[in-house]
Amino acid sequence: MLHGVDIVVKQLSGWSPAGPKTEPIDVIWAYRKGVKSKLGYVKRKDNAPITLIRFIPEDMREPIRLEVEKQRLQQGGCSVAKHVNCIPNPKVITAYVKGELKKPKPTTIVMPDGTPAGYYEDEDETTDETQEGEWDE
Amino acid sequence: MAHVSGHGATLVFTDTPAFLPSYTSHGGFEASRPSLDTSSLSTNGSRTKIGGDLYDVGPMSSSYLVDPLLMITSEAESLLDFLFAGADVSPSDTVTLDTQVSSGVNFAADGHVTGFALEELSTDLVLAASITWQWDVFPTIAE
Repeated sequence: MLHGVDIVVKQLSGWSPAGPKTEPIDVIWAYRKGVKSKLGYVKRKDNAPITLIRFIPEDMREPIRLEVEKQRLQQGGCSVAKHVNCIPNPKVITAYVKGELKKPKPTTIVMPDGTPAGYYEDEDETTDETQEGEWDE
Repeated sequence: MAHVSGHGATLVFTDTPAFLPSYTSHGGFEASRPSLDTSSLSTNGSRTKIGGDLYDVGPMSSSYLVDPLLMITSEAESLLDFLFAGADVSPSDTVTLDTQVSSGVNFAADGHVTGFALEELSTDLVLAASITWQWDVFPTIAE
């Protein structure tokens, strides 16, 4: 049990037109106070990564991964990859779309005199030094 | 009976599980079969029909907001990793489509990607793209 939440791993089973059917994936369920929620999936093969379909903070993913791996191995199943995939944080997406969140820009290279690389104080001087056709091959 | 919207729906390709862009919609899939005309010269009043033998499961389209960095192949399971397996096209893969996380109901079966489209690049328009994909068989409906 993790913070009052029971993690349960079950193979996906349902109904196809031909009748009951299982698929080669495990479903990760969370039970808390009688309410169950689906957390994600992991393929039924060794070293498969977990994919979380709810946004789970990074510090909670490792305990879930360990519990999933423990249960899969107890069921005679497969190991789990160390990396856990998770859907993007909806709050971050909203901020990104609204332009409230900018990605970090590349580092600016600064020349020894403190000016950014590629910056010329006197534009005219630069023009004078570059002769017409100089850059043509 | 509880009615829900499509908000919260999720799509996972379990062989490329890191391909998790910010989806904005998943097209509904359809299954249709032909209706065969059995009318003859001796039929009276109206045409007669029988159902065809097989349903044709229709294609799916899923739109998402683009993070340009995820197009770079050096990123784990980028767009290229999703569309290709080495130099070849991606093989079929188990796909799960959850109608809504809280409802728990989902569709699952093997499926394959059939296309990618980058949508309009324009000022004041969030960069978006879409993928098209197809179930290999009628999906299992599960919880």
